[in-house]
Amino acid sequence: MLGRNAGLILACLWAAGAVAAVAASGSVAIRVLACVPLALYWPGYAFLRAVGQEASSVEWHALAAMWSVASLILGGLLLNSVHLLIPMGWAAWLAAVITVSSLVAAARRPRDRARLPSRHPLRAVSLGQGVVFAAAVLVASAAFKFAIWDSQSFRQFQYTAFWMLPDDDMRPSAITIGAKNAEERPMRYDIEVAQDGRIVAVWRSLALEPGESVTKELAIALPPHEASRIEARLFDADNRDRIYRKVWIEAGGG
Amino acid sequence: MGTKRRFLGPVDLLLRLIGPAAEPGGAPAKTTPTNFWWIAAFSLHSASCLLMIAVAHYGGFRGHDWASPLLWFSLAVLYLPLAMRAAWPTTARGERVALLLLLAVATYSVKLLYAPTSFVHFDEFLHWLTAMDIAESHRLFLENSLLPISPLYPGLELAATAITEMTGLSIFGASVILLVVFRVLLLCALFFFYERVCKSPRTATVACLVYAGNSGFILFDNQFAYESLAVVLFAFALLATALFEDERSSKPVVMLGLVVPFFAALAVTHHMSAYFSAVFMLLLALLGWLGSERGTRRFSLSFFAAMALLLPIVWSWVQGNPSAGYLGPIVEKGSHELASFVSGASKARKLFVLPSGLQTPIWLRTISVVSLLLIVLGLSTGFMRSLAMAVEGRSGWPALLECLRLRWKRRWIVLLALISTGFPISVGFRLTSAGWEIGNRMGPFVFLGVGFVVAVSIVQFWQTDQARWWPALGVGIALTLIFVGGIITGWGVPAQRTPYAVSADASSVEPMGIDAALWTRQWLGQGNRFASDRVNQLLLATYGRQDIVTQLVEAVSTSSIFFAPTLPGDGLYAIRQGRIDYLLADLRLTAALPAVGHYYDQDEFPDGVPTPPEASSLVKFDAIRSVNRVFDNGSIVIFDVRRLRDAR
Repeated sequence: MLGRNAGLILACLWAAGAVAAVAASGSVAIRVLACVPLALYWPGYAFLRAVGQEASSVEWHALAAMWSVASLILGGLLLNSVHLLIPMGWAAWLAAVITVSSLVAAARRPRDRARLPSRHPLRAVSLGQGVVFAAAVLVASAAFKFAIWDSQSFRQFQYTAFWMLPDDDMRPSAITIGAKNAEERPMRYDIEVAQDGRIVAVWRSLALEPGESVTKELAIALPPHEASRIEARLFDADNRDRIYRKVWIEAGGG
Repeated sequence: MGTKRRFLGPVDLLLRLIGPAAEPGGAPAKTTPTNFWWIAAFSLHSASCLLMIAVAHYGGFRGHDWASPLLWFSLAVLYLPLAMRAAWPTTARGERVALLLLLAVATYSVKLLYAPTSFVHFDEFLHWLTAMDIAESHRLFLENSLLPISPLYPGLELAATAITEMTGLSIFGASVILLVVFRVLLLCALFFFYERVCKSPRTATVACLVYAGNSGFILFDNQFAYESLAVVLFAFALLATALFEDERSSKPVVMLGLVVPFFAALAVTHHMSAYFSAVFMLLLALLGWLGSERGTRRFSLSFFAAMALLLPIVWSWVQGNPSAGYLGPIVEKGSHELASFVSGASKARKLFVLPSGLQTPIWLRTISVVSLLLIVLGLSTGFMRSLAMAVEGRSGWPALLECLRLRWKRRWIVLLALISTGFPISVGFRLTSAGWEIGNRMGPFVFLGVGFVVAVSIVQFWQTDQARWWPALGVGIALTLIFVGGIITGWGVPAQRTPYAVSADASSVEPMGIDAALWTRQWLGQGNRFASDRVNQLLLATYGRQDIVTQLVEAVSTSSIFFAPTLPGDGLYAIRQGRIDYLLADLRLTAALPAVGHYYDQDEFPDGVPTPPEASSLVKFDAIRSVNRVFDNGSIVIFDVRRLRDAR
């Protein structure tokens, strides 16, 4: 009896474990291990057992997986209607599908029960073949490692970002000026801020490593009832002859 | 007599080529036991090819000439030996399945290697946005300004957010898990479906190998977009229906519980796939009623057909019938163009040339055309053979005649043969400008029939049961050409990573644009109304979480804001009409023509000829006092236009 229902018991235990992981575990790895099979396999497994569906080995497991996906989608619509599209809502739905299906499967008369798929003869893999499989996994992992490194390290454009924002759009009492070095080398910047053409603040030789950014706050006094133009200019400290970036805001007068 | 022989010779040859087989082939007389050495060796081989593809992308990023040949060579070498072994007459069934699963994982890896850390393809951004909305709000059906219909068909996004919610993975991480599972399941479903239909593991394997040559296999149905899931659901709906026809499984509970959920999930996942599946099931039911079978099977098939038709219609109706407004114009315009092309009133669209002028190399064009011809050859030599297989107890011309008299026993085979006739139609649509999208979407469905018919042609005519190397090599090369040709047709030159290109979707997604979008989120907050170009729209909506003003949703032509040399006029009207807060101007657009044909909105060029915007037009806002220039990184400038918008 236990042997025949071992798969169903495992499914229910897995569901319980996954619900517990969602409720209590902060580890992504544990939750992935617990919840991916919960979402993509066990509901279909229990359902196929419940309806007594027979099929060849791989076909049976594939049906179980895809039925799980279908139940995920239809369950999502249901959860949305009761405002439970949250982690525990998902886990509870899937656990409920597994539990109910398992109970139905366990209650079936023995002659109605599905013939379970035979085990795949993976045990026939020899040590040498296992080594080749392991080598394949290593080479594929190397391909992905290389591709990830390449996509993360390749930056075609090197640049400096420069910005200025008021704390209040119409009558700022302060403005924030920022710069980010996304060049390929360390940079030194000078920043000048002018209000209606008059220099009101200067910062010299701000050193930034690639990837670093800096922000400066500046208090502003606006003339009453008049719009004022506040302009910030960024210079490459090693080349003061030309303005490298320029931003501005129009404030007051509104 | 001699004259008669010379006259009959070519006719005889032709009939031998296209006519039905006198003795139906299929399962080889004897297969060898599963050889794990082959599977292990091909795993290592596939992994090595993936490494070569990663190196090809490395070279492609940096503009090296050797990168493109290396990529295409690697793709061909990945597929060729695997296909030869899987299609070999004496290969064991289990080994064939294992090799197909290996192909599934390898082909998903090919797509993933292009961008292993984030979404970069256009359609992926559209669905990523919907998934993010669901994950953040815990509600469905929120507005998506990039693709308004996407939230109304949330099947894929529900599956992805279920994983992210329960595991804590990112949506990209969840998508990788889902897509690799979908790819494996797709080939499983296809193999078992074909096998149930024709009772031959070898024919089923070859059909899967041919199916991998459809234009959407590597990219379109392998990306984070609703059709990637819909195709798999569709394949399982077919498999479950075929399974139901098996005597042992014909229980009502199975019919309701196993088959209907696939149709229901399909109906809420993708409109066009659901309608394609309805056509399939209606045709199948019709064949059941026309054919020689009697009994309850015909009624159950009619029930499935009704479900396949009614569920998407009901879902669309519940959602306010969005698919009519979305699909209607595409179908109408595409059909009109196809009709004028066939009648000679209009010319075909320019093939193998992107709107930016980038041309497909001649050797890739040749492969693409040869692959098309090979499919036509396979269909020609497999169509009648397939139809003859639908009749039991007879073979050759008598079987074909019985089939033409509607006395078939295996209606699935007739269905697949009929579906394969959609291939020329899909090619015809591809030749038009408006209809290419329909042709592209038809591909994965039409290839269900194409795969089967071409497989029958191979197994019964081109490479029969005798295990000989030369026919196997010939068939392997032909299958490889079909596979590579499908990638060229569906993905083309952009399958190779390249340096930044203007308005080129995946090739335009790079760190500087992403950083600018992230800056908007950090410093401006979410939900500001932005106008920008096609690619920055994607980045702003997803990385920046801004609201994008588009022609699609708001009927505001944002291109007029950027193209006009001065602002007053249409541009100012668009800013006010679209209640736009910020403009993002990307000066890199001035450097080249758009790879996809437009920069901002479709139909932005009245004469249809793209012209890059002037740099002075993009920064004309500098001269307007009430416009703030709040961000500048040398290429991307962000203007705050709220004062201008509100000024009267």
